[in-house]
Amino acid sequence: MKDLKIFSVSEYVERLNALLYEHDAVVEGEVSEYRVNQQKWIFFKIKDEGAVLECFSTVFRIRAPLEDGMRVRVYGRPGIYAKSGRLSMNVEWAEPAGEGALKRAFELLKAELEKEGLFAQGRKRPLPSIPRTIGLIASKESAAYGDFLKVLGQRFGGLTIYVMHVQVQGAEAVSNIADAFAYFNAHHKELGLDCIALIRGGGSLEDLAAFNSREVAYAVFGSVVPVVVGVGHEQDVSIADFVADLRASTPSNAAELMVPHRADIARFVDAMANTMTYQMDTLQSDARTRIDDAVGALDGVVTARSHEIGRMQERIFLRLNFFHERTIMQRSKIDGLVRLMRSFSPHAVLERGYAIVKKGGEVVSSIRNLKPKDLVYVELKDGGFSANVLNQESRIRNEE
Amino acid sequence: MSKKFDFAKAYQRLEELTKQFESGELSLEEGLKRFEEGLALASECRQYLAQVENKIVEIKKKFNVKE
Repeated sequence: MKDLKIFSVSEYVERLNALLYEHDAVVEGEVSEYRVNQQKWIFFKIKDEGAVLECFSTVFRIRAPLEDGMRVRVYGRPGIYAKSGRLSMNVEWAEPAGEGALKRAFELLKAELEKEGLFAQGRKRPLPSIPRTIGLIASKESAAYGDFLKVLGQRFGGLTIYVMHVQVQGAEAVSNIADAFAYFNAHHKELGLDCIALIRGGGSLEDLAAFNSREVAYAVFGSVVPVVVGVGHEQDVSIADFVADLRASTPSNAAELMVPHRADIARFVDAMANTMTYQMDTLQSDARTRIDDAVGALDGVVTARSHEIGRMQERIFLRLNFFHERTIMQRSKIDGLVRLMRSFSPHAVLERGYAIVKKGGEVVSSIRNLKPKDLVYVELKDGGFSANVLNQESRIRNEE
Repeated sequence: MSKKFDFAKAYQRLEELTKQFESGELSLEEGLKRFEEGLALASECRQYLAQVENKIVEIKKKFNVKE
């Protein structure tokens, strides 16, 4: 006994801890007394029929939802907490073990993420109706990969598909998938990605663990590019499905949802070309009809006007005739008048043997306007002569 | 096959043109212009649809994502 080294408590606990550190292990048991302190520290125990092991971890390391009674596998290293002297497992990761626990963990995580809004319908983005470039996250060895590409090829051509080969199962799966999303999102512009497909074949809850993990859920949720998730058989549902912008029931269905069928599109193209041709014909015949109508209308106007002009002409002729007759009538009336007027003319008097005496071009009507030696002009019915006045006599004498 | 041909864009334009025709608001002159464009697009689209192959590019450098 005396030979043994004497430690201080601190030294001894430290030494034990150094030894214990080497004994990392995966331990399976049932969770009890699970609690989280300050939203950071996780304390719980795992137990079986014969023993209890205290566990310690942080919320950053344990992403799977745990609860009392759940069967889990934890991985970590044991150590003694110096202040209390209690041994506990410092847990690095923990996962539900067995279908029941997995199912329960699935439900818990689903409820939690739903509450966080990861499944909200409002955030789901529409896929481009006709993509050019697709990012594919899948295992190249899987049947899912072959099915997806086959269906894609049957439906549409000329697509570019960028493939990120990942483990879809096992320890690497979660980080592989998360990295693939990170890569596609970092390069989506240069690749021109229209959408991303995350696919795998069906399997048990354990097989699908990666697709039911918080990390993959966040990777899908955080993707800038719209995501289609197609897992397994029709009845397989994963957390990633709920987060996806579009959930496909199988990998083949994912391909169906992502690209239209070329025959359908060809039919649409033909239909559109037909519509355009038909409408163009209509446009042309409409224009022709409009021109014909315009010509017809013009014709009508011209005919109507020419009728009108004819009627006007007739009226004018009638008027002219009337005037003409009136003119003739008036002409004879005027002739009568002229004759009447003529009878009053001095010339008519001359006819009867009278003479007109003019002096300096003016008619002399009184003897008082004449002096002896005045030169006068005497006009008779058929001529005239000049004469000098010899003397003048008063009218009274003249009448004698 | 011309790499530059953007099928989705061409198809979308075709839909636009068809809508314009269906609206009945096109003049004959506009109609003729769009009709020529539309028929050219339709024939390019048909050609594109006749393609069979999809191009598959594997991204190798996936594990030095962070670069």
